[in-house]
Amino acid sequence: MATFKTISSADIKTTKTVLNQLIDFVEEDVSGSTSRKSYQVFVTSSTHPDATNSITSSLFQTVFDQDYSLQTANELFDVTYGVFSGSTSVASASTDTDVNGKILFTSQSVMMREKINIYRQFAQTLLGNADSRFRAPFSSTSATDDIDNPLFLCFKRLFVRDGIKRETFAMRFFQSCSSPIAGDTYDNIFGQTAAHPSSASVIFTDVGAASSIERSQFGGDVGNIVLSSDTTQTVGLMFYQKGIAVLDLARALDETQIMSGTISSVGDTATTTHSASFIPNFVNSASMDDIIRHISTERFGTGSNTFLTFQNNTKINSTLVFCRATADEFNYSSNPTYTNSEGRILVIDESQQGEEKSFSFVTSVGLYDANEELLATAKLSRPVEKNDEKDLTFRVRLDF
Amino acid sequence: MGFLDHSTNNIIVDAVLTDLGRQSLAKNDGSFQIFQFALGDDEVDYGVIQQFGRTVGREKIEKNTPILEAFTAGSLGLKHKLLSISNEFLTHLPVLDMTLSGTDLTNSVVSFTRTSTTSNTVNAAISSKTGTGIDPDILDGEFRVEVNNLFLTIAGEQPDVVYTDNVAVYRIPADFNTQGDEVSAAITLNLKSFSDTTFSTYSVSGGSFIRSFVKVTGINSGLTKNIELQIS
Repeated sequence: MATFKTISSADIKTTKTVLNQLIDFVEEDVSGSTSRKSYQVFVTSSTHPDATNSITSSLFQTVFDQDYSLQTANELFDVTYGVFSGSTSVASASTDTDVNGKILFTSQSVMMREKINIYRQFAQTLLGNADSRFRAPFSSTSATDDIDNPLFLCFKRLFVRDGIKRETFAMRFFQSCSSPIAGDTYDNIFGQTAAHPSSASVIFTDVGAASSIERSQFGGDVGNIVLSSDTTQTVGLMFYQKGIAVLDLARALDETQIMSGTISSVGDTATTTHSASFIPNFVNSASMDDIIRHISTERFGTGSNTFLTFQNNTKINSTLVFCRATADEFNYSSNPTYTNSEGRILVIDESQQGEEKSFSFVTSVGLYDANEELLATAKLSRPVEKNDEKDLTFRVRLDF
Repeated sequence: MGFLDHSTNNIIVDAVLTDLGRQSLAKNDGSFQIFQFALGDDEVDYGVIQQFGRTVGREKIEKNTPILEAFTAGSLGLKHKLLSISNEFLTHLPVLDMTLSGTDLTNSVVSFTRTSTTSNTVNAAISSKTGTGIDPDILDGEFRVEVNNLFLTIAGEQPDVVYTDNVAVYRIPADFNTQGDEVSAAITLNLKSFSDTTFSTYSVSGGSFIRSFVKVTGINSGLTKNIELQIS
């Protein structure tokens, strides 16, 4: 046919390439109450004799890039906290185990079984066994490397795409809050008066992960998150394909610092004054919402700076279609401006007919099926002349 | 759609799947099969060659014709195709004429009335104006006719495809005259029945008629003509 040319199978190739995008998250998105969504799906039981108030809390919170009530808001990541069932935190708060194996806790400890279940869920997903314990470095067998109080950051697929690129992860973190003064009504849990000097923050990164490749059978590629100023100090794990960071709070922050302030309570009053160490007291006594709120507002910063960044991988499968126009092909056009009303071709001088040959310009390539239906179109950034002395090949790449 | 950056020497090729291409992929029945290609020159005004001559005109077209990004609407993708003709000294192409009862439709419209004139037969004819006949490479065996599927059908035919913008595509067989210098087809356009609400939605400002268009293309020659319809 004069307008179509069949493409041979040799002119269609498939390739695979990887695209990297730089992703960064801003402090005020995680610290802001309107951009961090809680779900309030958990309510404490009121059957316990000490429990005169109930606590409503989320099991995780989602951070958005703007007010989450707006339809244009994008989900960035989920934050949650877990605790290992065999940890000293659990041992210090549990009173007994019932006949069904349910661990019992005092009413001063809040959502302990939910925190344990969160840990077990991540262990099952990332390590393949709900009873397994996270360790950082990942390959360590030492009990001193156990992660018993992890913070889980689960990045959304919109940003992770096909996975996080190794050795591109970095996050800024405040290891300590402002210290309360004895006898003062200072609140460093939700920081009404706390201001973080920038020198108090540190950088956690997965530097070295590209040259030390470890793999979990269930969680995919794993890297160690270390302190950038001292890479021998491992503070967590990064599961690259799953897009999940596991941060050991015992090592990431000052676990002994006194956390002073008001948290939700199931006791005689709806809130209680807390003043004790971060681990185990605060993480045991506070609801998931209170823990996540504290981490989100006090540990990542509240300004307009980036606090977390990484690069993602997007694997692009492409079909390359080579459209070859030989010297004798496509030298005429059906464009209405190509001829006058009598059909005379305007690019040939009337006085030079029989001497000059026609030419045309290419601005578009159409890819068609056998029924001549247009499946894909490609546009050239500028017109390319086609004449009987030119052999042109257009390489059209379709990405999937 | 915006323009493509033409400030560099590199030629950028911007490619997208059309709505029909995505639909074929979604069907997962193997219908997404790239079989052939065509080249187009929708943005080019060859009148520049006549005004400035072959040398300067070529340069002006190459450098002064910004190209729009690719459209995903299949019905808008490639309007004017390039032609492969083995005769390299061809000086004339045939011309497509559309007529209604002998009246040329270049500057007139085809009128439909919902209550009475619900059918019109237009004639498409491709002929050489120089009396030299039509080059065999671009002799058309069929016409491709695009109509608005909301308002019109073609008598005795089923659409090959209906695009998401309600453009229905029909293929109409063409007849050759005995001298072989004219290809023609009679296309009977039938008005569909539709409500007053639809009429008022699509009618022009003032509400007296709906303006629609029919595009006829020679399947081999790529010659195209658009005619205007008015439905009152």
